[in-house]
Amino acid sequence: MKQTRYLIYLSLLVTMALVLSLIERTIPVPFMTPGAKLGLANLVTVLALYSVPKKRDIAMIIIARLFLTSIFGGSISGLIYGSMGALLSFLIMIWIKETLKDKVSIIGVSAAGAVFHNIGQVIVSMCIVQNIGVVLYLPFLSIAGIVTGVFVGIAANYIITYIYRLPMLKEAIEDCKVV
Amino acid sequence: MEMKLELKKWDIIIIGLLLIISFLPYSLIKEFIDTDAESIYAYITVAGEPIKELPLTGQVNYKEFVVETEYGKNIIVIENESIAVAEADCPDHVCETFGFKNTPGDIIVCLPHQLYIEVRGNLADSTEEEDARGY
Repeated sequence: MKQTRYLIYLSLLVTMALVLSLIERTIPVPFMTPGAKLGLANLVTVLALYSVPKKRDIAMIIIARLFLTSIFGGSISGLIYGSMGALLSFLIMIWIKETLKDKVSIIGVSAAGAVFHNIGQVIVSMCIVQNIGVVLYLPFLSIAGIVTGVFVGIAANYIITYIYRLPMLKEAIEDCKVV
Repeated sequence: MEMKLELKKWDIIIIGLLLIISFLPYSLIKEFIDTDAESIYAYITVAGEPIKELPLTGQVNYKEFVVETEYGKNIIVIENESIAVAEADCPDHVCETFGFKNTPGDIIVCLPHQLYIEVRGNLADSTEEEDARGY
């Protein structure tokens, strides 16, 4: 029973991530740097980092989200740029969260995730156009990334309070920690 | 377990470090870029291969260039000594949103077509100028 609840929670996270990344494409953002995104799907990754105990499950959420988004309205090339960014941002967020623990809040973790997503994006772009000059564009992307990352962190901070309050979910998550 | 909204010390440090990380490669490369060059030109590559070098200085009137490769077609426009991608048949159209660029170091990238445009200062001219200043 608790296993099922846990599974449903994970699927809900994947659904949220998918919907958020599809919605953010339809929102026109004026003054946004070309190539930059709001990174709303990062909200779900951050929530998962703070509520899902197993790292493997968080990785599964990200992979499922990447594949579903490219099926629902992306392209194969989009999947390639997306996965490099997602991988780097996932690793850095885990690393920062594990090493600094209570010294850092969700906001710092999420901002780091956003910027490392941009770094991954730039690395992939450098390989694609085979020109190192794309690095010149990184500051523009990461400034946008820091701003959206901080806002995603603030939003995640509010949401996580309510996630921790759900007694059923708490039980299910606690249970899975033991198993 | 209540999470209060507070910016901790390490959040600020992390954001600072992120800024440094993202500006570091930029500042290293910026050393080699001649921002106050006499004349500028656009350096265009597709998949790393140089395709064209278009002079921008003095190009006030509207001019159109078509870069067509196996990856796709981009229409490049030069006006008022600036360069932009006006139209592309790629799926994401990100390259069109860059707008007009005219400062050395500015870039336009079209990933689906592996197209890279960089505004460069004419190094040959500027070294001559520096020599002249020296004397």
